[in-house]
Amino acid sequence: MSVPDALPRRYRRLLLAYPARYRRRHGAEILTTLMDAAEPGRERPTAAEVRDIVAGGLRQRFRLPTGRVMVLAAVLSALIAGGLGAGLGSVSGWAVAGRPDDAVAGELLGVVAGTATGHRAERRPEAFGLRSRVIAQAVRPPHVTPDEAGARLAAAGWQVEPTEFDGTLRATRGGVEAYVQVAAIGSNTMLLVDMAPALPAFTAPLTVAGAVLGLAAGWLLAARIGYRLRRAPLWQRVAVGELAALAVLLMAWPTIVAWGYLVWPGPALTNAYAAYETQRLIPAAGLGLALAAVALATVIRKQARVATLP
Amino acid sequence: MREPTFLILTALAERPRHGYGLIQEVSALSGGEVVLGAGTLYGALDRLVEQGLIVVEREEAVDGRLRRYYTLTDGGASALAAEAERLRRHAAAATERLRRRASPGPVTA
Repeated sequence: MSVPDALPRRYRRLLLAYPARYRRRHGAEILTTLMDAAEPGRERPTAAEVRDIVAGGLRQRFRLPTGRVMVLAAVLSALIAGGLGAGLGSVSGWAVAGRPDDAVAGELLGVVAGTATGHRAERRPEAFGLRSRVIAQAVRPPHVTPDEAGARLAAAGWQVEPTEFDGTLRATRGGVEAYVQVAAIGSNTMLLVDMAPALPAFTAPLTVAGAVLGLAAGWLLAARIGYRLRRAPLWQRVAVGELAALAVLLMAWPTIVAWGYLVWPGPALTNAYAAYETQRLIPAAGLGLALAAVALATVIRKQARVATLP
Repeated sequence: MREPTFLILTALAERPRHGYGLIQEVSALSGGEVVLGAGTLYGALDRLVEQGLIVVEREEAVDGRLRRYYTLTDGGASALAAEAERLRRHAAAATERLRRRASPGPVTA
């Protein structure tokens, strides 16, 4: 038994690959062409048709309105969202792994002090959370000199190198890089570890997945807004454009740092961007402005629709 | 101009055509070499409308099937003429070079 309208139903389902707005305008027309081309009695789209329609739909989703400004806007939007996506992926990777590095920091302080010692640890996320630093300070450590510290670390299997700073050693072991700072302050000793912890197993793939999803989402967002704004009045287009431009400016530095870190994840890259409250406000404000631009673009479309009603 | 685009404009040069008519005409024009899928065809049509090279001439609904007929604009006709001339020059140049190769000249040591 053949179902008479099985083929158009399957074609309609395939056409879901296209954006809704495009489907409203061209869906019926494309369906006619597909049905015209299908020989009588056929119930299923061919494999070639499936590939062609899905590819056509995806191309339509990623297409931009003509103009160089749109290309620039889409690239910037993709880079910013890609940086954020990478950060989200990375943060979830770190979260899944728990916080084993605090124990490593404590162990490190114990090795340097020559005895187990209490410590306060603080984690600083940097570059949208793409990397974390653990900063741990020993509470009332015994007296120790930098030379003793170096010898004890080497004995515990750490690779020790001097740095350009007095009393600061660079110690590496098994993917962990730590800066150990020893200083005498009056009769007290200050013992501090600033550590770039080893990357947990899930972090790298989640980071890359987040970056890829973010890139695509940023591009699609710009494409959608671009098409929505095409028929909007000039002042509203300018308003959305300026909000978006300001958002891009505020997000520029963390985005550059995030991509710099993704492309070249060297430990030497120092960025305390998210370490201080005031600096966190800058990308937060940028995100707020970006949301305002999206909201304004959406409101325009709704108003335009109401205005065209008879 | 890419080959499918060139063939679509050529298929519309004579008279307006709808989607499936275009697919058949492009296939005939290319001797069956280029068979456009609907996704490829409508991607190209959308771009050509945006560039002002073609426009929708009329719509027809027969048995609940919507057909849109596309036609070449004056801009589209001159773009197609320019491209045809360019391809003709290239083809002529290729034929000319091949002719020279076929008649071997004096062999130099």
